[in-house]
Amino acid sequence: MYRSVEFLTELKGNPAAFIGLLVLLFYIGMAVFAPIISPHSPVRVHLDERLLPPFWLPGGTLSHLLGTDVLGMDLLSRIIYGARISLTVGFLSVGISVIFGGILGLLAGYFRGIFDEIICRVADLLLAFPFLIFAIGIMAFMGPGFVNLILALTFKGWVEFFRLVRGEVMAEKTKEYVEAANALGVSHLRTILGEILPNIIHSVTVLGTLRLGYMIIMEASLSFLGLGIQPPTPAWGSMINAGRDYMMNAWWIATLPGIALLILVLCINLFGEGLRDLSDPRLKRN
Amino acid sequence: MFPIGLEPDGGAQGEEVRAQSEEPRAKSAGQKAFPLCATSNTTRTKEVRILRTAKIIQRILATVPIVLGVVILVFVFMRFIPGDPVDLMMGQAGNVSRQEVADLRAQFNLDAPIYVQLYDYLGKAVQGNLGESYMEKRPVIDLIGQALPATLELSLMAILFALIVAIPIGVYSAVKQNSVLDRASMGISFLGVSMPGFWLGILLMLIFSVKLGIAPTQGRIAYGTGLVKVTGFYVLDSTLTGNWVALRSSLAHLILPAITLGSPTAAVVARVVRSSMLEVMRQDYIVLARAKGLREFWVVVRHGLRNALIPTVTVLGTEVGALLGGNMIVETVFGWPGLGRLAVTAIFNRDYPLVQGVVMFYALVFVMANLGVDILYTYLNPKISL
Amino acid sequence: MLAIERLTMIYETKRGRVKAVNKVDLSLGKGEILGLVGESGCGKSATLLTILGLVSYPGKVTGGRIIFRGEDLLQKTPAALRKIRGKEIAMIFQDPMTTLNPVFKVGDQIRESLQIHGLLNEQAEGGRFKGRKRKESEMDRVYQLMREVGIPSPEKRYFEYPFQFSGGMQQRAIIAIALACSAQLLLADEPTTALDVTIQAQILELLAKINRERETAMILVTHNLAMAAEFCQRIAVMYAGEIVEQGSTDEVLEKPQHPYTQGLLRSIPRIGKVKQKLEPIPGTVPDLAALDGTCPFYPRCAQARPACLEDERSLEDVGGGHWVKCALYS
Repeated sequence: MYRSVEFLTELKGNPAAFIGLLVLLFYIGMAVFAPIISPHSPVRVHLDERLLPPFWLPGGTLSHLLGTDVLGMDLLSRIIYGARISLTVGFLSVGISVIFGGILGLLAGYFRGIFDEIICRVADLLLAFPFLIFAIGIMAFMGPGFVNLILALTFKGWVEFFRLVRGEVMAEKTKEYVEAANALGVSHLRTILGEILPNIIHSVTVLGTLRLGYMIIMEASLSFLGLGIQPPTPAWGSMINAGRDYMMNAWWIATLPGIALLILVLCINLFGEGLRDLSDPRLKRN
Repeated sequence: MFPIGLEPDGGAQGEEVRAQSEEPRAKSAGQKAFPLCATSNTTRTKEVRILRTAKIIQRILATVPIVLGVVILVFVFMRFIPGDPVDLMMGQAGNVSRQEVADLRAQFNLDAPIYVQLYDYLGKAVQGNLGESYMEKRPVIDLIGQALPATLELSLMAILFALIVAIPIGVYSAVKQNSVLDRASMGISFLGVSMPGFWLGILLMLIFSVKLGIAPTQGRIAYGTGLVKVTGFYVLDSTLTGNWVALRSSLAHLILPAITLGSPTAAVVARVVRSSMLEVMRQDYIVLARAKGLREFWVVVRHGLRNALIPTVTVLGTEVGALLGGNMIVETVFGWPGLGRLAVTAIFNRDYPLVQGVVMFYALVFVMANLGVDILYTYLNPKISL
Repeated sequence: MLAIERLTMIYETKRGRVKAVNKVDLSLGKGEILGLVGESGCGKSATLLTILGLVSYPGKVTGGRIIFRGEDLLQKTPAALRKIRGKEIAMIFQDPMTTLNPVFKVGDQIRESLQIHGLLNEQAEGGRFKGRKRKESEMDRVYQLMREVGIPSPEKRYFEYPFQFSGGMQQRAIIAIALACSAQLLLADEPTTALDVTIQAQILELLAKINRERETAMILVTHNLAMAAEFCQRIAVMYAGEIVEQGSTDEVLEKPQHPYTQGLLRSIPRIGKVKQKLEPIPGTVPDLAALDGTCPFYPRCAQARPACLEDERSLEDVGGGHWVKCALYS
């Protein structure tokens, strides 16, 4: 409790990061309470209300604040529901990557040996693929869908965390407190969980935050290409894609979900950078 | 340990560590070397060159298993597809007899054990035979070759744009730290890092094509310019043949996609250049350069930027990956007939050999680009050779 | 040839104005070596940088004059100052390991000095200085400089990078850079501090040789009194940005007048004196941001008196070119 209070006060010293956190929380709230706050169903088709502009433009109505798309679906509601997809995919893919990469990294970095060798080779191999290409390849073979999307993102996503954790464990292992624990006959598991883990959790959190924004962009990119979440499920990427054909007469369909996406990723990154600066004593001093 | 990906934040920090570990060695060597150093120094320059060459060869050799691994991995993924290629082809062809299916299986070598198939595949891949596209009924390698110039032209232009924009901004921001321009450009670059490429493309298209009508939205060149294709690089071709109408048109088509593709890279590079310039400009050798009476411009460019480029190049290596991925997106948005769009079309046509070939090709390009970056690094940083 | 009068340089910081150099008076004749002595952070290096006009933000010169060969350097345009920098006044730095640019060949870095000031036959400033355009005649001049500072086999070492040089050799290369344009004034900022003891002696010997042969005047900044005693004709003692005592080496060391100099001498061991008791100076160096114009040594001074709290103090001649800034002598 004390630590989290301290954390918040320190974060307040960095207004950009603090705003980033607030906006992230706002989006999370939006995603959780989407059924309550969205004015319409995100998938209800109203062919007589097609391509309505946002309310501030001539022809816009207050019942569809941000207008409607080509099927007459309410854009605001779809954007609100879209936050669900983005955040769920983001958190799940980062979460699974952290767990998977983290465990492998802990084990490989702590025990080294042949296990470490093998995982490192696999990691090297995966690093030979650009992230998006790899994800696209997997989606191409497995087909679109929510589960496949998460799999495609985590299949390569764990490598970053593996490398971070492995590196940190190897560095921590040489420090005195670990050697002391070993000398006292503490079991390996307890050393890892009790001594090493708490010392590397912060850098994992920082990387995790920064990767969250990246994963959200990846999801949107895949959905944009038609390989991720499929319409009519409201995902920002596929909404932008659907709006491309109507740019001449209904620019808002492609633009507004993009703004929602940009603001979210921007704020996550601001928060992530703020976290990183907190952990960097060199920066703190200045 | 990680021959491919360079350490994500290995820039300035790694440099420090290396510099520190260098000192004691240099010191002790110096004690012994003086005053009898005449004998021990004679071969040093040659030594550096030899060591650098050895380093580069070692680095090239290290990519061989990676390349092999990439090919095998892509092959294995092929096997994961529900149904084999013959089923897929049959699905499109309509009613076929069992005998025909079996014949096709044998023809595609699909009845052989998997390791035989892999061996077979590897053998063909080495010769550049990546199979045949289902849809086009043409060798995959031909299709890749056909689409490659478009992608290369776009990517090179994007990198050019990124560097031309980012390096001066990064340098200026560092030299005038906390100035209005510094803050503004760093804010914009932060936006650039967070901006999804496809959305930026759409936004640019909306503003410059739809609203202002000054740039075309789709393709590489307008119809009827009478461009004679020589190399496949339209800008180059039109210049070579003196077809200025075509040059104008191809440049107009190129500019928005190149900006879209290059912007995230520009944002990253500007930030890295700025932070490493801030670090470099604090160094003693900058004071020495000033004390020599050198103009501030050259102090910054020759002594400052030259050092700041070392961490920048490292980042460029990882940026190539983002650029390749971005290609797929940008080519889709702007209807650019390159590798990326080839891949996306192939995916929707379930043209698996083509998908496989393009994905593999991308990975190999990425591996080679990183190899190139590493080699460039050894030239930029004389210390790395030893 | 050099006369500094009431030179003041401040750093604007969040905590206030830090007077790094406070009304400093110094003078230096042709071929003379002046030792600038004091604890770290007392403004010695800042004084040197100010002379060269290398003070950058947040530092600012707020007063005084630097008369070099009859002209005030502070009145000169940046371009005119650049012509003096490296050509007429050169500088040697504390840590040779970080002072040479790591990515350029050592020889090219020496050659650059010649090039900047138009001493090569090609276009003077800013042109290329690497690669193919190196001419034999230009190389010979660099080799000659390298030989002069004791870098053996310069034909090979020209093409080596700084990290291939030992610390001592790097410092020699930096001295070669300083000598390139035959500067009449050499500012040496603790040139031996970062080096091993044996190398230190060699570098000092080299500087002494340069002083003998080229009649180069030098300001040697050091915190090492013994070194200053051995090497310098005159010594200036600096404390908290001010010169508190200045005079010939013998005068200052044998008959120290300022309580700080006296304390400094009592706090270091002297070879030859048996059973000597070392007395550290009590207290610590004052916060430069909190100086109020009174004597900065007042809180630590055993002979402090009310007069010390008066705002204006100046260097007073106590006879024989020996100057002291202390209320005891005014």
